Amino acid sequence: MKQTDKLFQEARHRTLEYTTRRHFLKECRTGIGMMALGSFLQGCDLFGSKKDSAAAAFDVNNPLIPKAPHFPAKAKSVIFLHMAGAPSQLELFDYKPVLQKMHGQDCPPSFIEGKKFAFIRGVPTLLGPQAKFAQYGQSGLWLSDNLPHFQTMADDVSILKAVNTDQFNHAPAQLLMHTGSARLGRPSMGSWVTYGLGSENSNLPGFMVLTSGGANPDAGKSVWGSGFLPSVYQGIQCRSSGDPVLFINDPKGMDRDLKKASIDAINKVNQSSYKEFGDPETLSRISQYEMAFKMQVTVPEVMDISDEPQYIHDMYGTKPGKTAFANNALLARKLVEKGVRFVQLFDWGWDMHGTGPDGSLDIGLINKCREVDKAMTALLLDLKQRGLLEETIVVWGGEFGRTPMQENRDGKQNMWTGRDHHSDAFSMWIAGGGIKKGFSHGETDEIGYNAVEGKVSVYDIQATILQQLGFDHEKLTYEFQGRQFRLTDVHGKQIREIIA
Amino acid sequence: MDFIGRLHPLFVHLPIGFLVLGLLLYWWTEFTNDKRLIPALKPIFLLGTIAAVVSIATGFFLSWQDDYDEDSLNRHRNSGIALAVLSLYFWFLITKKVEGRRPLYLSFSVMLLLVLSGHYGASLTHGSGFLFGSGPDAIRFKPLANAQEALAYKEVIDPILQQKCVSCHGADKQKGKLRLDSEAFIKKGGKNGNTVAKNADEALMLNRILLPPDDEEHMPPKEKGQLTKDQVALIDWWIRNGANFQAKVKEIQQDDQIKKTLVKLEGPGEADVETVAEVLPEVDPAPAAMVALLKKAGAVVVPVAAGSALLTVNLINLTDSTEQTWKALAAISEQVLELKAEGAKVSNATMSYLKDMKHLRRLSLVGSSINDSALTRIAALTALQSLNLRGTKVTGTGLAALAPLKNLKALYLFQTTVDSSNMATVKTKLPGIQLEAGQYQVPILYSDTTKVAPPKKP
Repeated sequence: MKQTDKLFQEARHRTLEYTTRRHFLKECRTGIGMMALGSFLQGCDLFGSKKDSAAAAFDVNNPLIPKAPHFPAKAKSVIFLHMAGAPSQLELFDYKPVLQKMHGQDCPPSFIEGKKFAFIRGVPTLLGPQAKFAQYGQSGLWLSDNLPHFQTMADDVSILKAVNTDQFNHAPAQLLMHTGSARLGRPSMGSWVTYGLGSENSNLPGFMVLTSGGANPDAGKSVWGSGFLPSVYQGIQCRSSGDPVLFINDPKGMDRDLKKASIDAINKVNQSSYKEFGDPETLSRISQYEMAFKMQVTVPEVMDISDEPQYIHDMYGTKPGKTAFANNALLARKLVEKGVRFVQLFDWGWDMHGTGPDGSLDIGLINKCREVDKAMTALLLDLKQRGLLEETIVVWGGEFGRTPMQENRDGKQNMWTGRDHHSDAFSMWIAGGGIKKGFSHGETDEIGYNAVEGKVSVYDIQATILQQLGFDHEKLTYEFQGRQFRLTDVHGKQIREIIA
Repeated sequence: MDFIGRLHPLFVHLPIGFLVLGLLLYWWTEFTNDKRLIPALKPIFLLGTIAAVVSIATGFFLSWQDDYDEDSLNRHRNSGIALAVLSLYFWFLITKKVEGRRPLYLSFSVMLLLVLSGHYGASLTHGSGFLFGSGPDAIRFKPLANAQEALAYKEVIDPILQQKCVSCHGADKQKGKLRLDSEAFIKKGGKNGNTVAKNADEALMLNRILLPPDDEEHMPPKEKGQLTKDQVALIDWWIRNGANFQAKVKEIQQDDQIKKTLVKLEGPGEADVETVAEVLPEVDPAPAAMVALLKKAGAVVVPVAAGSALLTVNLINLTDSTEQTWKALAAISEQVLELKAEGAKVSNATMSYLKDMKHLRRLSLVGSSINDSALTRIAALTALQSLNLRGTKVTGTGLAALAPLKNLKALYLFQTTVDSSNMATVKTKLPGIQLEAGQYQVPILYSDTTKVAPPKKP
């Protein structure tokens, strides 16, 4: 009994200690001084960050309200077509006749010394292009016969032939491409864009994601995550067959009025919780409930492609009710038309190592091309005829490229033609939204190993996309853990050469 | 040996740091009578002197391996040695605790020599005019009035050499015993052979330039400013065609590629200038009450850029399309730069509210119920650059009303009565406008419906 009394006494003593005059004066000395200093510094705006950052305009009560970019935008929305697994640039866009001549020779040691590959060991042999190339359009871009439909679009796109990344494994490279960091935890490009611009259509999310090819990207859902941004900015993944969002329909016996009443009640509770604790995630939750309620009506409507006319289905090669890249491409157009800012499409299955027929350049790659070629061509043409291409950027590419060498897993040549992961140089294309038409930027060396001219990094592509949307990529920032973060971190330079 | 010489650029910065610090502390003690710092002066000036001596030693090694201009090198060397001697003497005075004016005057001399020797050294590496911006880095290419009439060497090649080569191959420095700053020196060549030659393959200058950047012999050296692709092409063209020092550009044989490069020397064309800076009209801010009213009616009203009074308006969420809303839109006519008024809520009648939008550049009326009679109203929107009439009832004959729109670049007519049959007539009425009637088809190829099957196992 005495023991506990002692403890209580000590506790009371400690509390009193904190409110003594001496303690108060001590606190005044540093505490109030620091407070004063803090307010001075704020007035000075030491780092010039406050007035320029979009964060100043960030309204926690209405996070998706449309906002102005830094300068007048050339493009309003983005469709990012990501071929997860990394398609081979040497069979699609980067024509290397010298590599053909050197087919079968040992790779010169200068290319492999000190290099790390995902699977190649020892000295691999060079593998010539496994496709026929020709020049197309007035621009004379080189394209392979793996993309017979896309060949007709040569005068509408800009091809980047010397893209460079510093990751050679799928997940980190995908994260780098979409979040600007190879590690988890950063917001994706679509999140940054919706954070900066808000959503024009108040009934649809600003950032939507569709996947095809049978699997999610290797990096998981983090490639459309919101990282440290409020979670209201994360990408909303929709399924292209069945219910677009699971459980989107009301359960039996629950009508829309009852639903509305219950959401209102939940939001009221959340509001008072926000008043008490001030956690912005609570507000995120409130607006997500409201958005979800609206989406119950709008999403099934916009995600239904069956009411599109037959000639559109013929154009894309879509089959309603199936999960396929073609359906997703058509949906991407519908979403952009409805004012969605950022649509991200992932198509899985482009990882052609040569370990089996489906993973080979002469069978698997050709079949993957056949799945996307017609639809991506139709997407460009459809956006064009609707007047949407002038305000929509379409980006196509993988997370890295493929080696000019035949893969020899564990030092033994693979059974099928295939190439290993390659980060030094690969190809992507960009179209619309104020990007040059019929243009090729960057060159690789004679075997397509290194960039020799017009080398651009993943960050440069991100900076260019943000630039076209009206952002200075260095100023679209969010304060987290004591510093201003941005998509391109400390890198990135817009690719002026491809801007029309 | 060479390695020791290359350490010179590293070591030279040490005496600068030590001596400046020492001098500042010394002056502080002199002018404030604060004697506490005096003990620190001794080691600082000793270190400064040692560092100066090491710099001089490494400097000698460096001067033997590179071909610097004798005069500039002498100036740098002599001032450097004098600096070391004086700083040693200063250290001596401090150690002996000599009082009076002598150390003070000496301290100013040390500072002066420090600045001088540093400047001479910098002139050796960066070129003599570097500090005041007249050096090679500051050379900017003035656009030629007419590239074909220009002198090939004097006006095309020489400026490139001045900008990228002469800092190492010029009057101040002659690496490889080569100078590229005049005709006589270029013809003479360097210690390794001819710069230019009748047979282009023997022209060393061209060879070095064309080597891959990683090659040790590549010029300019990897860490220096590189020639641009166009500059390489010009030098290549000039040398392969005999390196003529007197000829005009038009007298030298040209292919299509080099012709394009030569045109670029005349500076950016008009089209290029336009894209560099898009000029937006200056307007007063829109009346806030009207903007608020529009927003309440569900319209998206956002400035085109942060801080701009110009607005982009989208009626996609419009819930209230009463007359009041349209009047509010008319009230902000001057500020609207882009307008999306799509869907059934927009009609011929509402077009009258848009007629004063004199800055409107992009207008989309997709799926609205307007027909030809609205086109005369649209024709008054003179700033219009892009007009989307997809899915409206406009006709080919009615579109002729748009002819006064001189700024119009793109006109979208998909899902209207304009198609391939009457496109040609519309085109003649609206010359210079990119018409988009769509109706694209993507053919069905054999490959679209089949897959490549793997070979069957035997």
